[in-house]
Amino acid sequence: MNRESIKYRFMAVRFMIWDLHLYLDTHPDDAQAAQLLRQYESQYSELLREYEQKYGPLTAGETGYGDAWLQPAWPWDLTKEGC
Amino acid sequence: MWDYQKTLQYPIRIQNPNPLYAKIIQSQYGGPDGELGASLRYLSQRFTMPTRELQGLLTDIGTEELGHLEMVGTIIHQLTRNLTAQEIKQSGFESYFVDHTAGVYPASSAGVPFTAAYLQSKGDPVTDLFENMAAEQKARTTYDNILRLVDDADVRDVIKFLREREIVHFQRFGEGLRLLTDRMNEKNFYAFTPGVDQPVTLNG
Repeated sequence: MNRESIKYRFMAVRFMIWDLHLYLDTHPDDAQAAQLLRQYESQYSELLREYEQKYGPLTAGETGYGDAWLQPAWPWDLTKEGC
Repeated sequence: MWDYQKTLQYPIRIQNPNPLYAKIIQSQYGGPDGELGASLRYLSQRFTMPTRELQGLLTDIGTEELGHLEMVGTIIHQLTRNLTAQEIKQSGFESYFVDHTAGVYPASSAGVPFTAAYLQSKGDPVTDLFENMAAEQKARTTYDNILRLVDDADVRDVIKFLREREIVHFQRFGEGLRLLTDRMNEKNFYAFTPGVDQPVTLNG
């Protein structure tokens, strides 16, 4: 996968996790939704690791500092690697 | 606290600048039913929410609204790049430009600066949840109005995503309100302030 497609895949999985997370706020006992969230969670970890190894950190912290954090595109940039 | 992740919640790639569209969409940045008001409303109200579900729900939706604020700011930023003086004057963007250039500033489309008077934190969870459900519908209407005025496909795609989230949040707040009233005396939902006058776990 190139940078753009891995980023979009990552964003899609992240969104699924987020939406399930919100659903579980009001349905905390829904085991099926929790199971689905865990499936996406494992995809998310893999995609995040793959992206960060190839293209630099996405999250400020352990890996996200200095030029590796500062120089790649910011989310509002209209570049091929943006958003 | 919050950790920043260098991604938008939904991708934004606007190919054609358009300052008039930026001025219209501005209202969802710092206008009366915009994302800044939404995030401050939920993140402020959550402190007096009486149940774990509601504390979590307001924290999470408030957090997502900050992500939407970033998205609306990104739309405005991409719509206002590389403008000529002529484009600025012809589009009606000059009244914004003279004060802010192409800076992203929290104001309504009509230029009214953001004010905390757009939101309430009443300390009564029933009142606050009704306000939040109304707020989601008002924002949904504003996105519908934007869709009536904007015919650029790159912009419309993002606005449709944001509009859909208002509907999801309305649904979640409705469920939160139901979870709250399920734990209250059904003869007295609106007779007192559950956060202050009576413990919400009145019925156990």
